Amino acid sequence: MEHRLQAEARLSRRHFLGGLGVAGLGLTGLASAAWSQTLPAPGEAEPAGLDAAAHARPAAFLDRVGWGASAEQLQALSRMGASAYLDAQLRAPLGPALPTDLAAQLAALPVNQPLEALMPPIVREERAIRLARKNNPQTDAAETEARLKALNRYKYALTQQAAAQQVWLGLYAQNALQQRLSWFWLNHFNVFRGGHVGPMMGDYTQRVIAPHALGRFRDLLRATMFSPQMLLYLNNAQNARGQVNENYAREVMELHTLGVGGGYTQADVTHLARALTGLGVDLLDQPVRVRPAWRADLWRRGLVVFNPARHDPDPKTVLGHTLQGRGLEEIDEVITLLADHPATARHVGTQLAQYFVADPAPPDLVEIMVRRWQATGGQIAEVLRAMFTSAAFAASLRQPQFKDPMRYVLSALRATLGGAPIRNPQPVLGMLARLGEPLFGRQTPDGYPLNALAWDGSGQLTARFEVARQIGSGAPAMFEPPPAFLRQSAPLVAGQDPGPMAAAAPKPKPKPPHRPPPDLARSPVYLAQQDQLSVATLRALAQADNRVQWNALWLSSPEFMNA
Amino acid sequence: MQRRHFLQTATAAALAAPMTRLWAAPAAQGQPKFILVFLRGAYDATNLLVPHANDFYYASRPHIAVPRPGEGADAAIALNADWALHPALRESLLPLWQAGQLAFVPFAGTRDMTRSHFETQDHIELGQGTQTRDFNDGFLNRLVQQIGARARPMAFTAQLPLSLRGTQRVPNLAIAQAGHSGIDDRQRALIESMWTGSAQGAAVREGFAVRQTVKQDMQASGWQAEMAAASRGAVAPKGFVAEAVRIGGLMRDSFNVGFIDVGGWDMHVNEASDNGAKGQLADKLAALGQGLAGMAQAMGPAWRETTVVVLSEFGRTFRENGNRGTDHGHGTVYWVLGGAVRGGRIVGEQIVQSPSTLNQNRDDPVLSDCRDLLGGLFQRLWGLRPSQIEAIFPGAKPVDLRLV
Repeated sequence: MEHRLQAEARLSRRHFLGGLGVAGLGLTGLASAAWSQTLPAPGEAEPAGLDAAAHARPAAFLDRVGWGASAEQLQALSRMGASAYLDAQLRAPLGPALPTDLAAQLAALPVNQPLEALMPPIVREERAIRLARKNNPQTDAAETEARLKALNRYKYALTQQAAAQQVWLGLYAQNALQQRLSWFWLNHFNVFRGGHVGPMMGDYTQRVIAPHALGRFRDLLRATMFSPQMLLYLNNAQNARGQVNENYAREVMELHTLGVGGGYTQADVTHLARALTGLGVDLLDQPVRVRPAWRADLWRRGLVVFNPARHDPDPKTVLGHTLQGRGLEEIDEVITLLADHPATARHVGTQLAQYFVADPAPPDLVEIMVRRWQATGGQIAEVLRAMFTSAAFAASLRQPQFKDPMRYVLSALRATLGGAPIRNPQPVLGMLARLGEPLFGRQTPDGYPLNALAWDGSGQLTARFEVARQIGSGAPAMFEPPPAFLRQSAPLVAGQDPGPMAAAAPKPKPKPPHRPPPDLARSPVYLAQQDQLSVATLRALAQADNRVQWNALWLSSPEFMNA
Repeated sequence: MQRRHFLQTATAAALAAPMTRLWAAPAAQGQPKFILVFLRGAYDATNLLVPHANDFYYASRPHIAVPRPGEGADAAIALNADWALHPALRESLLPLWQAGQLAFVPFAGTRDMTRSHFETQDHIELGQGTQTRDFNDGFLNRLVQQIGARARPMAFTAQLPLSLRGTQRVPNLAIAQAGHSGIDDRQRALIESMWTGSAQGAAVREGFAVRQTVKQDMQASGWQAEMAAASRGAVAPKGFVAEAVRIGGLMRDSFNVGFIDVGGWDMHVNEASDNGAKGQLADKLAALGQGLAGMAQAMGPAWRETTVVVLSEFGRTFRENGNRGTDHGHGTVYWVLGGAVRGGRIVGEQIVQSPSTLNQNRDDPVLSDCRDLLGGLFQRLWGLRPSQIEAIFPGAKPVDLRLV
């Protein structure tokens, strides 16, 4: 009881501090979907306002509605106008539309196999290694160690393949907004690459997150809740009757849906954890045996299993609702409860506005988004449309935000690269790691921070200038042959024939053909941004001794680092 | 009612009036140095400082308890009649305890009951009163403001932590990244000129300056030799241990308020293997202990003026969960170590843990408040006035645990 009171006190304090009223919530429930679809919400910009703002600052617009401006997108924007461009980006079926070769290359990556094909051999090999160590600790020690090393290299290779895929999609996919939003959701529903999660990151990014990135929030929540990655990462795989593990139950309310001030209590966490007992993972993809009485309730899809024998059947009350169903039905009830809760619309809407528009999120804009969320049952594309067509968004193009490393690196490369796609994404992964935001590298479930203050410390700025120099030089390593991890499709053990495709012993590197550094002073993105540069920046650029230095200075300028 | 009693008769007098206002700090010999080590993820303090005389502990943790002192080679090490140290710290930190340079404060923490890592970490790092929540106003930044011109703060982290954000600019640098820079002096001057007048202008200049300082320091001190000494000829230390030794050298020469964080303590599953003396937690504690001992050694004579506080956002459930792990709890154990620390003691108000004395029959209660404790410590370290402590921790009631 005391806890609930504290939670409520905190809720009201936060709302007071944020200048947000809770009164609006009750009223907006009355607005019908039809009403909100036909009338622009108050504060919404005329489309002309958005078109004019984007026309004045096309690079800034593309920096928000995607991963940054490229020559190709600047052309599309100028041809279509901002409203039509935005509309096309918000249509989910747009697809990545990659160059054919690149699309085929990604489709063939071993990490993109179905999990049922990918994971059981890995787990079986791990078990075999454990067994060999136990049974013959002395005789086969060297061979066992070699097998273990090979397996770990393979798991690492799969994880890196998934990360490389994200880089290629970020640099070249046509549906840039959906790509950027997929990263936002990946971060919102963060999982860490350790253990068995890393090799499954291709599935998590491409099958769990991406299809729902512009869809309905409830479906996205469900997809993550029923993903082996999340179930393993936040330990719900171990959550069973009599052995309750409340890790996921807590974070799904605190981080994924309601937010920490969202009004739940320790009792809600415990009851939700009990409702989620039995939802787990079987990485070996084996038949589950249960007593006949439970067979009807047994459920599995892919590697995810709901095992009624592990489920706690006693009554539960979550957020004041007594769960009525049994087994899996309870989990469906819980998903609806969490996804449709008003605190969820506010929590997630605030984060979207903070990430895409301004930090702190403008309270009026959040109200618009919350109303749209409630009117559409949490349709993400519609909430985003309300956000991007708001007056606050058009105005924000003149108030740039400091880019986090993912935005910075991808936008700098998009401004720099043209023509044939890069062959080796490893240097890009290295830049992200160096700047503190590696893909799949956030250990804690809160995801990377979205506010500028987290990224503009003095040490981070220095590191960023060094990355600017690397990109400004053209980073020729990106055009060298693909790294070994992209070619590995099975564990390799010393002594076995690695085959022609595999990573063999390091060969002497052929010297890459000389690539002159790009001429960014004549690049479309620079020309589109040129008239917004300060005198100080123009003066510094004029003093550059050579092309690499000029490039590095432009990519180091406040105008490039903020957008 | 909770049954509370004092275990340490020696300090009972000081504890009996926990709200005692502080007296003047002892005259500082040299400039005090302070390092905060934040263990993110809530380490399992109940297995660090083991209540070895308490049968309820062993009943609550059938798979993950640390064996009683005397029960085998990996048993807990008795520190007094009630508390024992995790054996992973035998080589590294037990010598500091024996030298009277290490104290533990059990039942420490905050009033935050969300049991949320992120909420509680923020709460600690902001250290503000209950009415405000300004994410650009951390308590270590306010400390730096109060120390004034003497302060040389530094965050040894890839991102500037909340606790050091605020009106005073504080540099940050991840030691692992402090390598060679490809940017020459001319390029540096041009970059600085572009950023002059922008929100990050000062940070840009500071970043270049600090990197240069660190580079010179590390060249001058020959930190590789220090690291070899700290590992006593064993395998070259890596990860946290290597970083901590380098940080010790930098703190010795160039800085006096430092921040480090170490993540990965959230062990809901398989925290221990055979028993609490082995497994994930034991390995992490061992590395942390080696790092802290290496840092102490690298600081040389400056260790005499140094105080290190190791803390975590909260403790964990007193009982183990179904997966050889523990879930989010409340009270935790703070570590205080340094050449000037009055150690070899378990400090602060204590209880015997039992179903009726635990907080919500789940986890340790908080009997020593983070802000009160640190406020009292800062007052002694720098001889700050009560009004200055009020500026750092508004509304706190500093408690003098006579830690230094």
